[in-house]
Amino acid sequence: MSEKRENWGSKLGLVLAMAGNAVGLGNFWRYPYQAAKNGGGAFMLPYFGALILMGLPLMLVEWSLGRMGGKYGHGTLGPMVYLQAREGVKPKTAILIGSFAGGLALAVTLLVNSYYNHIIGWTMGYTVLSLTGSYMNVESTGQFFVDYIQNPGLVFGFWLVALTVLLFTAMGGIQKGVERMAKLLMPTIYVFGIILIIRTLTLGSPNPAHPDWTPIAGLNFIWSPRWSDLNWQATMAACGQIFFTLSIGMGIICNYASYLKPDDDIVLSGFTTVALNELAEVVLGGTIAIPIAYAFLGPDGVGASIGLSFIALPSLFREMGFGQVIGAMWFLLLAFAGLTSAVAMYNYLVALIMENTNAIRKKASIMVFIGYIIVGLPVALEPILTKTADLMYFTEVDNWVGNFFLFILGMTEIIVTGWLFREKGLPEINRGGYWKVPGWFYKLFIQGITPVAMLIVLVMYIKDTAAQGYYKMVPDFVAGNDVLIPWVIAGRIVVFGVVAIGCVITYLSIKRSYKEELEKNQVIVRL
Amino acid sequence: MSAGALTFMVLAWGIILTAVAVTLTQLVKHSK
Repeated sequence: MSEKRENWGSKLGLVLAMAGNAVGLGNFWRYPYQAAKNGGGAFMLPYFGALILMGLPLMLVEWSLGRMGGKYGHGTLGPMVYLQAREGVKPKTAILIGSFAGGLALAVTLLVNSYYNHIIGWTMGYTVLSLTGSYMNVESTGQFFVDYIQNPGLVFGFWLVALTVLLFTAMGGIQKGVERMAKLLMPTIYVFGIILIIRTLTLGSPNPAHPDWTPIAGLNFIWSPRWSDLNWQATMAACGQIFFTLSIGMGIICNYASYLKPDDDIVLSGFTTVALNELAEVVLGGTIAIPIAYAFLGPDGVGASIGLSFIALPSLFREMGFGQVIGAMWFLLLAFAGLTSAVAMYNYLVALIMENTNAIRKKASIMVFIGYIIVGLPVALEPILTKTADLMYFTEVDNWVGNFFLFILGMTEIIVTGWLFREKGLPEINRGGYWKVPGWFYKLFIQGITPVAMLIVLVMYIKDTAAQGYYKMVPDFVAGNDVLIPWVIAGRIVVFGVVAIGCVITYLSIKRSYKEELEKNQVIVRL
Repeated sequence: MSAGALTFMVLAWGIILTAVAVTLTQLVKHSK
């Protein structure tokens, strides 16, 4: 527990890496689609509500869990949760809570990246295909996308490029790998975003049949408050978006925070990270994809998620001036945003291996590379082998690890800090802080409203998804499709298999580190 | 743009840009 851990090289590097962790693909293709679909301007009320009620408190909790865990030599969530939980329950109970959290965190970091790395690969592939003008003269960009994901050479080639970039970044360590990548890519993302906004807003009226379809009309569409669309589903969408965009409930913020020094500020740094993420999401993300789609296709053209990026926008890039360059810039922006998030999940697993074996960083990074190849194979093989484009394995895995588990893990973290670590949590958050969290905020949110709100959201999420048939042996979204049912079942087996393995690994890890206090069932180790 | 859309956009952008300016300024100040 006392070995020297890596640290961040600079405050700027830390904040950019944390912001890069949060700024991902979701900021640019998921947010605008969610806002346009769920009430436009009115969506901002539940969105900012979820940010204040859940996003900010949970962000502070994750930073403090991570920094405290780092002090004890831990970079993964299970032992971090154990350390705080044991202050409210006996160590033998705390180890169970820690093991549960560690199991879920392993599933999230291993399996979200199993498909996320593929999407990064697609964006890299589309960057090259934009520059070479490959989709400029095709009949349908929809069919072009289907052909892409069924082409083994393209899919595997660019996937391996993405994984290799992540491998070398992780091998470089915190300062020379992760921090250096963030310092290079994060400013580029903002610069590309601004260039794309300028190009978007100068599109004029590109569809002669509809002169009223302009980028400004697109902005009007995304920002006009449609109160009738503001319902429970919109509120759930806002909560989900906040979790997804801030990368909370995954353990990766905690992992990055574990490389802080024990008295480094976390309050102001955490708020800065959130502000930079919201800048990328609401200001940049909200001003590119939807206004472009609206200017060419009108209100009916903005209702797709992945399809918006890989099908609708390419069909529009070929109609606009400098479309090849703009297209390449859009996909490179997505690739960079994806890489800065994927490397956080990658590093979590590197830390997990280093913590539980004697492996050095280089060896651990190679092991994670192999692990991602194995878990990513089904995502790539499904469309190639079945000649379909439904991506059902991806959908099933994402339903669990990209949504459900985030809520459960986030709720576990806030309950452990607010209700088990209790009053010790406030000074732990405020230690060394440039800004201090007031006591009333801690009591009102972290110990009160936030866990309750998250419990309500979790219950409603389970109710909604149960009504949609997600928890049946054969989920409704794949029912009747005999070719793809085995892929969905396989996805479910993989998800729960990884959770089970993660729980066991975490249990053994905590037991090894805190053997004596677990035997005596009382807290002994305090730093 | 409609007045409603403009109001929501200006408010959201205003809050976020202010938050970015304040937090970054404070961070730079404390980092010296």
